[in-house]
Amino acid sequence: MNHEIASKKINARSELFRRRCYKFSRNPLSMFGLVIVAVCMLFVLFAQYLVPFPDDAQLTTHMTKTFQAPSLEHIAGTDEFGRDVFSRAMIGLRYSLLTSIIVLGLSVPFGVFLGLIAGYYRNTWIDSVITRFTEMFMAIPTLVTAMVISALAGGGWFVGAVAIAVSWWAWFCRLTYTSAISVSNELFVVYAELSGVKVIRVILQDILPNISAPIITKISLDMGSVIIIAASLNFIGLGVQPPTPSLGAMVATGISYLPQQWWMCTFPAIIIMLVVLGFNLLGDGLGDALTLEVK
Amino acid sequence: MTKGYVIVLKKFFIAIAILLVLSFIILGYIRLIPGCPVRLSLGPGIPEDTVIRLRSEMFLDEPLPVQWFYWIVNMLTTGNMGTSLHSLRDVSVDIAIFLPRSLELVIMAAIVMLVFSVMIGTFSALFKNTWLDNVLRILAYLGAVIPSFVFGILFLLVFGVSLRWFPIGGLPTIPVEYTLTGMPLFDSIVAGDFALAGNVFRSQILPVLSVSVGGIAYTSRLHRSSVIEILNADYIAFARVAGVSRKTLILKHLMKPSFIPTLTIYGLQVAFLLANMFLVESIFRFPGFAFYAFSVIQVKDSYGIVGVTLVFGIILAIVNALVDIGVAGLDPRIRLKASE
Repeated sequence: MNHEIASKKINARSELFRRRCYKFSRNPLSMFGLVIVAVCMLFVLFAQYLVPFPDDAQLTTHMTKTFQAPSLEHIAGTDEFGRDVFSRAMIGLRYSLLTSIIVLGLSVPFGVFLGLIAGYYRNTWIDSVITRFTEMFMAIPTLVTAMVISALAGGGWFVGAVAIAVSWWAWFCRLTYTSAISVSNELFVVYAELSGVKVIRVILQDILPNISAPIITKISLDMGSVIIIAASLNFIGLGVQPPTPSLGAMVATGISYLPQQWWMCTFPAIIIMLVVLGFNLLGDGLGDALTLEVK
Repeated sequence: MTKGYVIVLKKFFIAIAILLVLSFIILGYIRLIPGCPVRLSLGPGIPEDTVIRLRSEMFLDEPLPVQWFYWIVNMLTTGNMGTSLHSLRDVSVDIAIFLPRSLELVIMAAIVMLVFSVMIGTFSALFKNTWLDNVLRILAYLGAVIPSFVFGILFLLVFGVSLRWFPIGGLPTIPVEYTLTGMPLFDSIVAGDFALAGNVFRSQILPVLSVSVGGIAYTSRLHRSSVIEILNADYIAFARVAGVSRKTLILKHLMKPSFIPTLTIYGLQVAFLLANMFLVESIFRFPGFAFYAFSVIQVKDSYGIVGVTLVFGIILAIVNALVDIGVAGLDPRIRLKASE
C-alpha cells in the first residue's frame, strides 16, 4: 500500500513539473530569456574557444589595427590598442557572470539558512538577533557597501564579488523570513512537529520546498541585478582590474572616444542590456510557471 | 493611533543604533589597513609634529573603542564628525557643502519618478493588452534592464553634445551670499536670481532624468499590476454598476488603494537614488555628495567614510519611516493593526 501511495506521489510531482515546463515553454518571451541565458553560459564555459581573438583579453597591442570600425574580421570593431572589442566583451561577460554566480553562491545559502531559522523560531530571541543582524547589512545601499569594501580591500574581481555578496544575502534572508513565517503556521508543519520530526528536517523538508518558488525567481532576477551592480563598480574603476576586460570598464573607456569610435562603448553596453534582459525574462517566466499549483 | 507612530519611531532609533555599531566596524576595518593614514594622505615632506598633532586630534593613537567613544561624544556635543583627510576640514562641513546639491537632485528625481511611474502604470493597466499597454510594457522592461550610466551617456550625447540643449556637465557656481540651504536651485530662486536658477535647472535636468529612468521603469511595472488587481476587485465592479463616472472611479476609488503596494517599492527606489548618483555624477561631473563619497573612499579617509555611510544609512532610515507613515495613512487596516 505504501508503495502505491509513493508511486502516486511521484506521478503527481512529475505531472506538476511537466505542466510547469509546458506553461514556461508556451511563453515566447520566457523561452527567449532561456536562450539568452543558455548562450551566456556557453560563453562562460568556453569563451576562449568561441571568440575569434582570445589573446586580446590580455595586454596585447596591435598598433596597426587601432580604432577599426566594425567589419567582417572584427564584428564589433577594435579599441585603442587594436584589440577586438567582441572578444574582449565576451571574456568580460564571463567575469560579470562569474561575479554574479559567486555573489549568489555565497549569499543565497547563507541568507536562506538564516531566514529559515529566524522564520521558524519567530518571536524568540533567535528571531530578533537574526533580524537585527540582517538590518545592519540592509542599512547601507549595496553599491555603497560594495564600493567601500572593494576600495579598502584592494581590487580584483573576486574581492568585488565578495563585497557585493556582503550586503546581498540580507535581501534573501528577508524574503525567506517572510515566506517561512507564513508557511510555518500551516497545519502540516505543526503535524510534523507534533509527530516528533527533528527540527532540521522540518525546516529543510517541510518549509523549504514550500517557499522555494519566490527564492528561485529572485535568484534569476538577481543574476541580472548583480551584473548591473558589478558593471557599475567597474564603471567607476573598482572590481576587475585592467588589462582583464570587464563590461563596465569597457563602457567607461569607450565614452572618451565618443562619438567617432561609437562601437567601443555601444557594444559592451548592448551586451549588458541583453544579458540582464535575458535573466529578467527567465525570472518572470519561472515566477509564472512556479506559482502553478496542482488543482 | 499613537502607537503606530511609536512603532515607526522605535524602528528609526533601532536603525540609528545599528548605524553606530556599523561605524565601529568601519573604523576598526580601516585600522587594519597597514601604514599610517595621516602620513599617506599628507604625502612626504610634511613635518613630523604636524603628523603627530593630526594623529592625536583624530584619536588615532587611542585604542579603537576609545576612538569610537570620543568620536560619538564629539559628534553629540559639538556636531563635529572628525577631520577628513581628503579635505582637511571637518566631515560635517564637507557634508553640509556636498549633500544638499545631491539631495536636491534626489528630491527632483523622486518627484519625476512618482509622477511618471504612477501615470505610466495606471495608463498601462487601464488599457490592458492594447497596443499602448504593450509599448509601455516593452519600454518599462528596457528601462529596467539598462544600467543608469548607459542612460546618462545616452542623454549626454543626444541632448548635450549633439542637440546642445543642455550643458554637458558641471554646475554653475552659486555666489556665497546666496547660500541658505546649500541646494543650488532653491537658493538661487530664494535669492531672486532667476537667470542663475534657469542655468542651474538646465544643468540638473539630465542627471535627474538619467537617474530616475530605471526607477520609473521598475515602479511603473509594479503599479500596473497593482492597479489591475484593484480593477478586478468587487467594489470597483459595484461602483461601475452603481453608475460612478469613469473619472471619479479612477481618481477616487482606484488611485489610493492601488498606490499602497507601490509606495513600499517606490520608497526603496528613492532611498537608493542617492547611491545611484555615483555613476550619474561621475558622468556629468556634478560636484555632489556621491562625488565627495567617491573621493573619500579612494583616499581611505576613515572619518570621511564613516560620515558618508552614516548619511546614506540615515537617509534610508528616514525614507523607511516616511514609507511606514505613508502606508499607514493610506491603509486603514494597517493603522488598526498597529493600534491593537
